[in-house]
Amino acid sequence: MDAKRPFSGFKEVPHKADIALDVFAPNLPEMFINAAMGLYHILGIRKGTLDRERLHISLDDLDAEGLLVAFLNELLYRVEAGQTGEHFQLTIRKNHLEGDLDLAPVLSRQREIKAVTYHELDIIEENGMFHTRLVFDL
Amino acid sequence: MDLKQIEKINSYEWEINTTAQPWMRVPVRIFTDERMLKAALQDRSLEQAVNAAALPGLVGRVCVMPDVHQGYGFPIGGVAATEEEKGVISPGGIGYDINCGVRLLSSDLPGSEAVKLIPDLTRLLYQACPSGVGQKGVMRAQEKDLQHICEQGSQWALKNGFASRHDIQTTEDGGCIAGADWSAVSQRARERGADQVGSLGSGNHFIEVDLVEEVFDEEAAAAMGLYRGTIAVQLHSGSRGFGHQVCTDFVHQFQTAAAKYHIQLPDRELVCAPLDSGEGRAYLAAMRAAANYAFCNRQVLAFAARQTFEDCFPGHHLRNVYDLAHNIGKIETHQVEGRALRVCVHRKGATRAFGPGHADLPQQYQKIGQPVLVPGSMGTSSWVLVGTEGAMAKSFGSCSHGAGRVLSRTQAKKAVQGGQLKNELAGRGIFVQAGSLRGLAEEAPQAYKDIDRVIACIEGAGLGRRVARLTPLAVIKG
Repeated sequence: MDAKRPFSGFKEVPHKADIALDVFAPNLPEMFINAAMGLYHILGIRKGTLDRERLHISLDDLDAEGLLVAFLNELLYRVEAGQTGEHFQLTIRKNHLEGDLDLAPVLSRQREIKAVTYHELDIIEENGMFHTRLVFDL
Repeated sequence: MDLKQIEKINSYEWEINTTAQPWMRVPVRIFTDERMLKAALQDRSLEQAVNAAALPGLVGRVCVMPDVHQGYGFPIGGVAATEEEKGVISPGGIGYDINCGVRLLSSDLPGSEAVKLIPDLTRLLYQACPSGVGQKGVMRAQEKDLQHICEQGSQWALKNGFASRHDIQTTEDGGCIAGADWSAVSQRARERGADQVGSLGSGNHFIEVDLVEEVFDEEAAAAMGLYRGTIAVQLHSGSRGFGHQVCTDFVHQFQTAAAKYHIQLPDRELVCAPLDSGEGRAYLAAMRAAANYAFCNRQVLAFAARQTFEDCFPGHHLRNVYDLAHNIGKIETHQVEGRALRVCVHRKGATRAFGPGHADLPQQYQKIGQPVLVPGSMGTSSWVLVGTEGAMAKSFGSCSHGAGRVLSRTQAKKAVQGGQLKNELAGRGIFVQAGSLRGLAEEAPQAYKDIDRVIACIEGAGLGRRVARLTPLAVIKG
């Protein structure tokens, strides 16, 4: 692990045609939340303050990587429907995710993401830190 | 990957043989010159082509076009064919924007007559053809209409007054790929597709008003209605959220299918399923529905552009030259090692380029070969070529789809300021109407390869033959 890397968060990394994010966190749920924040950052979302609603999501997948893609694609689908998430509470156990979040309306966004990809996706746990690189198709 | 692992066949063809990685089932053939090959080695595009060579049932070779650049899973500018009977289909080998493609329309309007009205035309096109992030389309389709669009493609547009018979004849597959199945499409895809028919989107999608600057083959150009000094219009768009969702759904479903069929791959984004399996057939049916959606989307956009053009320039008509796909999987027959074989050709960022006399071409292009549309970057030339026998023999009838990126979006934004670029283009007589200056910077000409060099490689490799060169007068970006 590079000492310059932030303890918890995300960082945009160069990709020729699309956008890639490095995501770091001390545990898996926080890494998922950081990845969600990275997704919203790329989209350039401005959110409204009214009409909030609470959403519960429940996802299963083959492994943690598959779960991460499924989680982000769920959020992307909500953005396409005009809703962004905040105040995430996630639990992840054995490739199963239970989550609660507040949905707020998207007032505007600057970018379109076609999909979250599985390209070379690998969640690495090292010295008590979780790290992964995500590639988004623009 | 380095140059030592690549064998030079001739000045425009290079090969990575199957010893490069243990999973390779076929070699990788790269169509480019030495300078652009060295540039391609600066990113991971050739490693991605080597990874794609792992797909079960591949025949011939994985082909890499001169505009290749790094993607995810497959490289952009990659072509791979799998045997219909024993091979697989890979959604990631087609891409999320299923049937992203280009349409070219010609006119008899002299550029000299049009030039003063180009800014007005551009503003009106911007109004008439919805573009930008999250924009809804020209029309909202009810569920029944959406089903018909997915099953009938541009034929739906013809029945509903958005197309002419000539438009249909001059669209790849007549704007409708048979075998689409509405029941294979998820509810989410249906929701996302309902209000985006007739929308351009954002990113590298565009409408461009061009001048036919040079004609290299007068007979072929005349067959396409292209004459030196006249105005033409290009459209670049795809299947919008509908296609993105179809691909997302199946890349996810195929994660388990790959394990079920004991398929091991170097990258999960390459996941695939046998063509002759329930999963493979379901994806093929849904992918065709998305392809038909895209054909119809470009047709409705072309209809809106045509109306605007004809309002602006009474007495002049925009005539369809051709509409083609560059992210697609197609069942085609090709000669492989001396025998005719039914294969699924995955084209990801690559264009079909059938040679003269092919049965799938319309009558007017039988003699000259299929029009091949290769847009340049914003502010540079675009090219019209025709497909050749060389493409049929070497690349499963495929050719480059554009210029190909050399700078990442981040690098482009650092190198170019959107407002400044807009002014520079205006100084060169190119009027730009864009939804986002940041988006404009990301698509700056500096971010792309030299299109003229790409075309020289295509001709050098025998994959296409030049017909005309277009220069931009106006660009609309979402």
